[in-house]
Amino acid sequence: MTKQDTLNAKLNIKDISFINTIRSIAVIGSSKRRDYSFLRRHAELFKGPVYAVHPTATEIPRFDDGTQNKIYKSVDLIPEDIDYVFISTPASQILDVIDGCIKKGVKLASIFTAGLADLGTEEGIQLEKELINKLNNSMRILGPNCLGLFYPKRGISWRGNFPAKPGNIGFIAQSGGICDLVVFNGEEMGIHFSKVFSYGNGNDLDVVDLLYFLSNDPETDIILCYLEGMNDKRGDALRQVLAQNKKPIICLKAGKSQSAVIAAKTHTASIAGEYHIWKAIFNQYNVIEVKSVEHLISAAKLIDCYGVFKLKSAAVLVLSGGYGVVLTDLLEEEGISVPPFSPEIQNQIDQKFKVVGTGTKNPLDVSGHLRNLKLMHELIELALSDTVIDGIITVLPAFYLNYGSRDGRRTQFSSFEKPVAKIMSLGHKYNKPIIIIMQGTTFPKTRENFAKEFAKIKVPMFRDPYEFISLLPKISKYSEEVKKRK
Amino acid sequence: MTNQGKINIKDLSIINKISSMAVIGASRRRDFYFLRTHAENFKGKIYAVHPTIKEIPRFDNDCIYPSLKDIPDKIDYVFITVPSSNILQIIDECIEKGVKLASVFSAGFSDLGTEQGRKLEEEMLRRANNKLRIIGPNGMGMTYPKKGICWRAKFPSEPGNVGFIGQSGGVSNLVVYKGSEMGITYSKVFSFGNGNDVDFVDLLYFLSNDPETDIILCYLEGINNGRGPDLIKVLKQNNKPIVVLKAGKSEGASIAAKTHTAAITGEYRVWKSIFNKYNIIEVNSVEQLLYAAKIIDAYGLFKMENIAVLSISGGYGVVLVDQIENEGMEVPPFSPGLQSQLDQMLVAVGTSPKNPLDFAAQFRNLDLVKNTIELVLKDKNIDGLIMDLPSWYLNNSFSLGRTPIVDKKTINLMSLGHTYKKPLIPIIQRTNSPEYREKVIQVLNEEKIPCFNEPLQFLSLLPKISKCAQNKNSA
Repeated sequence: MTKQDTLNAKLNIKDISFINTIRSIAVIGSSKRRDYSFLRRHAELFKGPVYAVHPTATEIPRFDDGTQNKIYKSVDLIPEDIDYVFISTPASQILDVIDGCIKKGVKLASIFTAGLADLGTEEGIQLEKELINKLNNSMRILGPNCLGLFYPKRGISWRGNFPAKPGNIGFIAQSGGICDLVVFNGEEMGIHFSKVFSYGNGNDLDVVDLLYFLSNDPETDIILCYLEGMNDKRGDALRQVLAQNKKPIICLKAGKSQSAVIAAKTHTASIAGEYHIWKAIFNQYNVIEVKSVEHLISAAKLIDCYGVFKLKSAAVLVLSGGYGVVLTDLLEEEGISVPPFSPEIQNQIDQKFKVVGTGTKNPLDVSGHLRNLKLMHELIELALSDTVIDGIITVLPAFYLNYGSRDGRRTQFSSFEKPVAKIMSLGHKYNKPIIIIMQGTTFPKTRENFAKEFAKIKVPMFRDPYEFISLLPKISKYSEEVKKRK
Repeated sequence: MTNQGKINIKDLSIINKISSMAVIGASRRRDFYFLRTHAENFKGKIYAVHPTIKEIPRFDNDCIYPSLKDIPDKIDYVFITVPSSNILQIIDECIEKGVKLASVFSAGFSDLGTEQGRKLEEEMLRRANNKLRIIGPNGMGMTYPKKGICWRAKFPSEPGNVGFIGQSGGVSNLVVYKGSEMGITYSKVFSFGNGNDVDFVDLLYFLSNDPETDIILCYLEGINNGRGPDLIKVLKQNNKPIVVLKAGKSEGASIAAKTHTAAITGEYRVWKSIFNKYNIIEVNSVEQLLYAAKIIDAYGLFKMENIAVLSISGGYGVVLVDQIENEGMEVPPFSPGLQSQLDQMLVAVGTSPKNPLDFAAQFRNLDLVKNTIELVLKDKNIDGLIMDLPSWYLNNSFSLGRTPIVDKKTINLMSLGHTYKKPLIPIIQRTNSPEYREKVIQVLNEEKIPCFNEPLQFLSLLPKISKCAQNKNSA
């Protein structure tokens, strides 16, 4: 046994480090009735030949014609080694298919097939047990009742039109629907994934194994996790994995309320467990817990842009004084102060404001100054250089930065997107987060242009303060705990 | 009139009768901005008043006068944007001309925080002498789409039934723009700035009795202490839903409000008890003002205690249940009769017929979805339905399926909430195709189906609306 094997055995972790070297894949059981949808999806991005395994089909339009892709009647007939298979045969055929895969030396299989333990029937549970017994540790399984693996760098994907760009965020979820949501949602937010795992019933590979893998995966910097529950016996292994982990883990625990626990059981046959125990584990191992799928993504976005940061006192910079007042209320409710600037900084800021109807104190009410980009640049730089300020929350209304609404005055810029983005990147220079709110307005196109520009320079932009404000104290706490525990 | 006298309310009934207006002091340097914003849509006669300018491009030059008194017609409403040093003379002229209502955009009064500014504001009011009503100073005035009165260029101009009162002009702008994207349209929007003549209480009374307004939204920093008893009387006589955002709750925010519109925000707990007593829906953000308006505009006031959840992603359904129950609502099991019907209908492997309903790819069978939603909404134990609606599921280009883009069937089943008079609220999350999602949202807006980007935006509003509805019923 290698050193890694020993450690894995001690942790009771299933080794899947071979994932990073997958070179060949086969899709088994994609049906003609659904136009071979899973086959096509995997063939869309995979960087190499894809093999289809189908008992009767001899040709599949737009698949094997003019490509390296080939069709075989069974997996053992494929002349090449196969590292990964995706299986969507009916449950009744699953045992035979698994036998074939093991014989072939397949390393990992994702089983989409449902109708096993998730049915809740004795028959289903028995079938799943038999399936797992066959594996005998010679092959690893994601599922059954799952979508498997999305690995953009290798082009492994269970869905058409999934974003092909690889990233540094890993995601683990029992639920395939949540994975779809997170991946699509992430694309709009400008975050990208190293690997996404949908593991369904999770009877072989489970959250503990996958967490360990991502925690040690050189392609992953941030780990997101949607968790319904896990087998009671895995508690110790989970604690050990969390103890050795050095990366930020953000977790959404589903099945907190009684009805949700029951729903989780039907959904992926999982035992959601007592929430207070989970809560204690999250606390003990410095796991960031969030309350919605959307917050998983928002938190990942914030950390992806600025790393883990402390934001306990903020400067607020707004166009509308009223909105600044509301934002200050929302921030202080979350325990983030909006303090007065230091006297010497305040003094410099006072000298820069000349228009009646603006406010020079924190929250800064820049009002009609917003389009004076030179001034904005100076104000933001002053605020960031103030030692009492950890970061800036600012509101940029699309209707004010849109040429359609301009009132005839000229500025030196042909568009606002690039110069504004340049100013907002000052957060990186000072190593303090700048977070932008741009509401949905009647100018969606303007908003989208800004979103793209900000995504390029890794500045997070949201539509609504609720999308991120409650996450800030959580990230601050995480960052302080990391320092404390060093 | 006697009633108004008793409550000490300033009469604003002129507003619905405005047929002529003038913009005083729009400057050439800003290309006559405020004149143009008002001239763009105004449905009546509009005049420009300027001491020296005789020609304004793209404006009827016969309608430019050096002073108000030179205008031959009567003037109902004026928008004033002269420097504060000229304001007293202009007010005198308005009185002489018999103008009933003025919006004063000019700043530099009590908002300055100086003795001089405060005195000037007092003198202005003394001269108005209750003959001329003033919105402002330091406010944007009034946007009244039906009459085409508007303080901003290319402002959404479709008239509606939602009234908004905001001290802050910036908040008012946001509310109007964001509202238009969400399908919310306005009867009147007031930005009253320093509010030294027409104030929050007057405007609330006006909207509460305005036949063009069904729902009232307020952004409130504070009111003058002396107006408390009048506010209470206005709230007592009110029968419309009022949604309020009280700003300046925290210490930092209350100092900011003082600089912003010279408002004293007052003790929050006093406000809180007033909101409670008079059945006012209080929200915590500008966005939530709009979300609440959107939901009430679609379904009126309703009870929302027992919720059915329908999801395409089973996992998302589980999370929704947690979030809903966290807000004190229930996702109860269906009644046995309903459950046995659903058990027979929803049989695909990998789905669940229980509450939360997990539809997965069965969602493509729209007849089945429709029948299910109908059965669920008919059940007297269910108050409403919340569902996820990933837009990539509706978009043909993302699927190999047979469903066209937001076809009529999908819209029909989303409209079932209206058929059964129970809220049906879809959640349309971010996607890799924001353009397509926006189109879907537009279609839903037209059908008055309130949809949201994420549950935390609106879930906390449902118990508030529900409580308001029940208080109203028991009153």
